[in-house]
Amino acid sequence: MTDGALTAGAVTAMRAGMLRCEGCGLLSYPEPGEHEGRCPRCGGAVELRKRDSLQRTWALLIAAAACYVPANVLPVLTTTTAAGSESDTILEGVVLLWSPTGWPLSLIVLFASVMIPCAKIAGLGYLLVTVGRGSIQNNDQRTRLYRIVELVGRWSMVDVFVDTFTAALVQLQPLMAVSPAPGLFFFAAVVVLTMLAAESFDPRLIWDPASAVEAAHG
Amino acid sequence: MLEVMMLGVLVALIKIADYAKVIPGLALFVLGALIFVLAAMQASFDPREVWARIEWDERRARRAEPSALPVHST
Repeated sequence: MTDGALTAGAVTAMRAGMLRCEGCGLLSYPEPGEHEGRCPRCGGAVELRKRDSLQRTWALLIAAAACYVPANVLPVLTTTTAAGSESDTILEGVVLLWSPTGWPLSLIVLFASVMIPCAKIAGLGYLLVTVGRGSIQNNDQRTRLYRIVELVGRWSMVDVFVDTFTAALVQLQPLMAVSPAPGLFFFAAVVVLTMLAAESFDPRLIWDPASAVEAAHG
Repeated sequence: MLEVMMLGVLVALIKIADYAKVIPGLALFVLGALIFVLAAMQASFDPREVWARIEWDERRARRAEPSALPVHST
């Protein structure tokens, strides 16, 4: 923990009694007796830590995990041809894409639609449990984990785009038509909910226990 | 989100190529270029520089009316 500019013993804005604006980064003092207010520069709401961060993130994460099941079990795309209609789930779509030339695409979809949401839910769950228990270990790794979760989040949207574009472009009635199926809405909900969960999590909470220990020991 | 959409469009087009002949038009290549230009623009833009200018203006405003704004330091 000595290779960065910030160590657990660094002065934090909270210990200095200052609020940091999430919008423009300005540090400001709150009005006497207050713990939140408005940023004097950009007018955004500033608070010491995101309000009810753990509770909100837990709620959004559980909602995302609940949507993850129908997202994978229900079909995401219905193809209607003269021969009849056929529905595919996400995993069936991955299998369909798998061919000697198309396997990289299949892997992209597998990563973006199955592994990333799963990893995000697991990663955020781990962060919430360790922060809830006040862990002071692996702080830098946990911060990095949070950054990764935040960064990769939108890439799971790929499958939603693939299916909506396929549905929009393949409208050759009565020969062939593709339309989105219920699973797609659940899948989009998973992506949006995990992104909101990552957004409502306050990474500063990872460092607070370490900072408190440091303060107590001088 | 544009780069995610681009990847989604490409995957969708390749999927459709199984059923029909797909000829990428000029706009697809331009969209690809746009993604790189936007990424370069975002990387070279420093919001702190812009905020610093606003702050300069705001400091003047504070001098004119000291009690209007809360005390802050940078």
